[in-house]
Amino acid sequence: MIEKFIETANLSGVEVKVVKNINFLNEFGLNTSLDYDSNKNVGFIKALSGATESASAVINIPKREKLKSILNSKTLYISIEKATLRSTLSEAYFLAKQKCQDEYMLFISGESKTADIEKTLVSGVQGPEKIVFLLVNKG
Amino acid sequence: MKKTEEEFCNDQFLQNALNRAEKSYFEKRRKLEKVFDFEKFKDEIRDIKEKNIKSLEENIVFLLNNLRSRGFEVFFAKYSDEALTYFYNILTKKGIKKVVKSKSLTTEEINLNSFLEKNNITPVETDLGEWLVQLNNEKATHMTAPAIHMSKEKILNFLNEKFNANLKLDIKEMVDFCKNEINKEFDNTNCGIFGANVVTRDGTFFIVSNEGNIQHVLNHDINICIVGIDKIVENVDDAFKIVSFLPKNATGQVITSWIDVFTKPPGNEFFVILLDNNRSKIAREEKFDKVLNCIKCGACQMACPVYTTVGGQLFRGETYAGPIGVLLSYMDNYKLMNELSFLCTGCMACDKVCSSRIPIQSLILEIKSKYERNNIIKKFAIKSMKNYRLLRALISLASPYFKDGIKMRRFKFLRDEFGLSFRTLPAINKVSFDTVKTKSSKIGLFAGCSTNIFYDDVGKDLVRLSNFLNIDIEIINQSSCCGAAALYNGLKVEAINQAQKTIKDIERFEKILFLDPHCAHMVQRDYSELFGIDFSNRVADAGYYFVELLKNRKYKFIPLNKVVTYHHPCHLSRGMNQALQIEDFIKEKEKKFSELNEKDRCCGFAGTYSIMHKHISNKFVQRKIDNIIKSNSEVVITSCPGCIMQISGALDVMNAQNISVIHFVSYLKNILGA
Repeated sequence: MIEKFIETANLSGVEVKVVKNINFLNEFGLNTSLDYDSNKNVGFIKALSGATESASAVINIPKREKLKSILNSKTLYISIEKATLRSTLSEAYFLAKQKCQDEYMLFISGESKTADIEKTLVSGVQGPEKIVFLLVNKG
Repeated sequence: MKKTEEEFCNDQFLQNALNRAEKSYFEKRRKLEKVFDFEKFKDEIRDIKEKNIKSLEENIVFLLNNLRSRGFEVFFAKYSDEALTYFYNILTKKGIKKVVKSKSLTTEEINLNSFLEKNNITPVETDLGEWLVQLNNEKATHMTAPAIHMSKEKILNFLNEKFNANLKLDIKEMVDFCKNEINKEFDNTNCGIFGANVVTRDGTFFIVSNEGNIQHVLNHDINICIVGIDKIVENVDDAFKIVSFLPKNATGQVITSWIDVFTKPPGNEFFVILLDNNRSKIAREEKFDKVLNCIKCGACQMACPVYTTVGGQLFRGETYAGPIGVLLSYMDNYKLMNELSFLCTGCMACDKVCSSRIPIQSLILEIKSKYERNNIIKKFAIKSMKNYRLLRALISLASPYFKDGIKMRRFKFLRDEFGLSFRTLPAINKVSFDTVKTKSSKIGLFAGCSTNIFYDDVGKDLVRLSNFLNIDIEIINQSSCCGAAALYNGLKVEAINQAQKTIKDIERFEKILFLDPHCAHMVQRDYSELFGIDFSNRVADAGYYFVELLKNRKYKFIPLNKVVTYHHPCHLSRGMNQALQIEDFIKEKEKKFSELNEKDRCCGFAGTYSIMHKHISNKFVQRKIDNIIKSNSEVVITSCPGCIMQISGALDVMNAQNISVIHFVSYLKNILGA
């Protein structure tokens, strides 16, 4: 599952790190005991599940502040527990829905970007300029 | 004043922008096609859409009930004016003077922005491309890339002018500037308006995006969603399949950066408008119901040679552009359907890439027949083709005057008018080729009008080839044209008359060979659609037939030993899927084979299209010739007399005598020494 996720993320040009925990994010001044946290430059968020078919993370949005935190992070780290990886978007969605009943789920698969001017790709439009997936493999 | 076809064709900024977009799209798409099974996806999407369009009424009722039971305000708008009134009522009731919008084709369809502006409510587009076209008082010209027609220079100029800025010609700097301007608007309203890519009948909405603007739009107190009823699907699995394939086919992305899936957006109030606007009417039409299978990926626009030549400012209806734009504009009762539909060359490049296998070209032909537009000369020419006695007489009569081809070198007006300025036409045969007497056989050759009028040498090569291979082929003495010219010019009744005559000519043969794939495809596909007669097992392109036959025979081939290439005719490659086999055969024989870039891109002949839309046709053939020159080829082989006419005629005008264009049958005859 992990290999497949990395392979697909590479196709989309998104960085993936396999980690044992996300404690290193504390060095950015982020509180990793929370569900999400951000400062001006860096943010992190814990995903409910992930889909390998598209290298996507499923995030629940229970309140507007969480959405703002995601959008305002210049670099956004998204942690996904290995055990929550599923093959398809649909399977990942149902797993997320089992975990929480929030009405709004956001699938993130890459940074905010546009190619609206002459097909030239520019990252960081109205959201994060960079996404890093942290696949948490506790071993 | 409205820009002309010629002006669009000569707009170098537009040409550069479209070329870049097309190139970038296909590079990305080809990479993904190696990883994902696009054909399987297309089948799945077609099946999902067909199933749900069949259950459209049931789906609407379910969705309305589900949303209402959850306490949302839902409005079913039969027509766009009802949707607009509903918008007005909500916004005025809430005292809203400004709204932020995310990209929504449905709001473009109902002209929401101009309606709101007239009513003193300011709509602000927040997708960068949409914002740019809105700022410049234009309309979006592509489904997923609204500002595709705008060059960076043009954007820079109006940004500097409108905002009194001093930006440099740097796309990153320009994007940063735009995003800051857009960003200011999110806090200036409490209302966001958006569309959705899919909605399940239990009320789960799906929106795909990349920029992050949609999440800002959703993050308002009042959310209004407008969605076409064709977007409703039965369940979440169906929806995920659509949103998974949509970006792959639309932009060559594995997936979009963001997919919003919600049963309620984050705001406090949620209003939903379900828009019909002729969708339920078209869902009941046997053929045109397939239009609703469209998932609005815009791939057909990127594949269409007309769209990528003139762009979506010319090749458009009221809202939608390109091939699918013809179909959606028909659904939308667009007034100028005749002008719009006749811009299509019929090359089927759209069919090949469509996400849900909509037979776009075939439906456009049907539309052409409903909105026929032909001048008297064209009508006479096409109608005369049903009477081959008359046609033969006209050939004999005209032949002495056009021994050296149709060039009109002394008559500039006629030359320009008939598209002879960019390509000449060949000499007219002394007599119609189909009058050549042959022994009766179970295998017939339907030579077609191009061979009968212009290319008797190709016909004679086939006779020599068949004699050499000891195959009896009977040349069919035609009573009429096959009807393709009539059908492709919207004269369906005439096409049926001509086809009926042709059926009588061909029905006794076990195998019917064609020198023109357009005729072959007409008999194979359109006769089946028009009369329910299936000729598919009996119809074969002559070249393909010989290639298959030679697989089991041993002959000595003497290659041309020149740099050769093969151009794939539209009807042979996309219509009949037989062009690749011919190319492989040539590759095997010719060591100096040079593969043609964009080998299956239309050459721009398309019969009378090359006269009616000569500027577009000229652009097509110039691009073809550029590719031929880049391939360093001395000989261009193809399988269609129309393509030969177009390419060799353009080479003639360019005086490029070092490149010859020949029919595959002639090539085969030559390398066999027949």
